[in-house]
Amino acid sequence: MNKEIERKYAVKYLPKDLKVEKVEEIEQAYLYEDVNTNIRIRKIQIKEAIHYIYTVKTKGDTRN
Amino acid sequence: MIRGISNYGVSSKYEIESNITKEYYETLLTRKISNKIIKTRIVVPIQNKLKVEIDIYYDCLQGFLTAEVEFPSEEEANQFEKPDWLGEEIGYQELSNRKLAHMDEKQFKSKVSQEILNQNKRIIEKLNQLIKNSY
Repeated sequence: MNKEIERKYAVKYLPKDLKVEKVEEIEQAYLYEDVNTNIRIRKIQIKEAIHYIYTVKTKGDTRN
Repeated sequence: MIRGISNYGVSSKYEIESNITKEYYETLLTRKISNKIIKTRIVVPIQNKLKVEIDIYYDCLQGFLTAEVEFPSEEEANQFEKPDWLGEEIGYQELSNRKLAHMDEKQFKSKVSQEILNQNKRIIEKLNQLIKNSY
């Protein structure tokens, strides 16, 4: 099980030296969700390769 | 730092991922309970071996643009000093990934100002140019 820790921001502008490492075309939808858990399916295309992924996400420790 | 239910600031979740077949994916897709979200993700490296995932959204979220940074630890997430080109934090509940997956175009436009959408439009044009050049 992986722990996903992230922060999300708006984009103000693009820096001049921005280096593109990877481009992914993503299609996704949710199959289930409640307060603590969600199930998502995702199709990811990177160049010619396509992957299909099933993901279960649950909330971490929220006592802090 | 407020986190957990409010989903503001650092979001921390456990996730289990499995690869599935195209056929299974397509069957499951008929059972979706949200909109289908379509986006282009551009991964760019930043400081301290971190990566930013810039997402350009389409369909009823047309014009939406986000930048997600993933961290190896909560400590690092809390101490993160964002590069200047990243704007305000938008991980809070109103625009969480789950909420976005249920919005129609009208609801989305009531949450995001036209000013932001116009600004995004210019940035998205540049990103599309960068994508073209990267192939």
